[in-house]
Amino acid sequence: MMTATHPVAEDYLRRFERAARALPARQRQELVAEIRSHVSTGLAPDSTEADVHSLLDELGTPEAIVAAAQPDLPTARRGLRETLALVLMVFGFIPILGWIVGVALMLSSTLWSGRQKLLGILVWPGGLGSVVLLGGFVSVASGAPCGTEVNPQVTPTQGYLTATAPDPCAETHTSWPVTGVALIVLIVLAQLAVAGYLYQAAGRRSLQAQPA
Amino acid sequence: MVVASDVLSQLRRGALEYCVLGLLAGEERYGFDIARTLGAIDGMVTGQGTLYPLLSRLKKDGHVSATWRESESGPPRKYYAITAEGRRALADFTTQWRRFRDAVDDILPEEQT
Repeated sequence: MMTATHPVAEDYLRRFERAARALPARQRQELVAEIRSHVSTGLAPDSTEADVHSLLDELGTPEAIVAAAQPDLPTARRGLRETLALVLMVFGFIPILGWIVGVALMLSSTLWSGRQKLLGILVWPGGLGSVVLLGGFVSVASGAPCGTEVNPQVTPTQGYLTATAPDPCAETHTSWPVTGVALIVLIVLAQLAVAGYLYQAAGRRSLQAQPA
Repeated sequence: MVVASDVLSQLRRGALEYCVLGLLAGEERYGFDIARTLGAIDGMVTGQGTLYPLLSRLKKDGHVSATWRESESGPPRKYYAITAEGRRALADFTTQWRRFRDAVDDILPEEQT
């Protein structure tokens, strides 16, 4: 059978679906179906606009309903655990062990999502200590002696081939240190940026937990 | 009156899910019916729509079960029924609630008019 609809109700349901995007897919579908069912059950073919408004007023705003569907907010506040986790993960102090303790502290915090924790672990495993280690590798690699001197002379018939395949040794000799240093700088910056982001994220989460 | 309304919302948050279970103890009901019934009681719910997330939580906890059913007079309805586990939770809350209510009543002075 046809279910009664009304432009005002359709508007509300569209707004509801937009607000519900914050929810996980399965929960969203279930809730949207319930609200849809509620609205069409409450509507009669002869419902006036005032009837629709009163039905929707009693239902509450989409935002309020979606907020009630969101998982309970954490009760924790950003504190020593979060700060220590980030400081240890970046600076370590004791190589490897410091970073591991930092990771353990991060995993035990309720103020970061799983995705944020993963980000913290991946950028950058071992913290600044491992970047220093990487720096050692790069300097060793760039200091390695290069085999033979390349003859840049090319005959017109060979030209095509040599141009597309530059000498690997020359490549290593000139670009390894540059890319290596750039990479290290990038890793250090990314690490500091991620730590800063996670610190703020924990602050935002703990701010939400305070009574409105 | 800020304090009074705060306390009320805290009390409501704690008791509402048991009121839903209590409502379902007699018979199964569909969402709209539950929302309307509790919505008609003064001070019970702030917005009827917030009952749906609550029902979903009760289902997740295993306190109610839910099934969609076609209706002769409108769109499909989702019917909620209390489970055995839900009944246990309800009985437990009822005992504790009565004890708590009596204790508070004993301590509070007679209503002043």
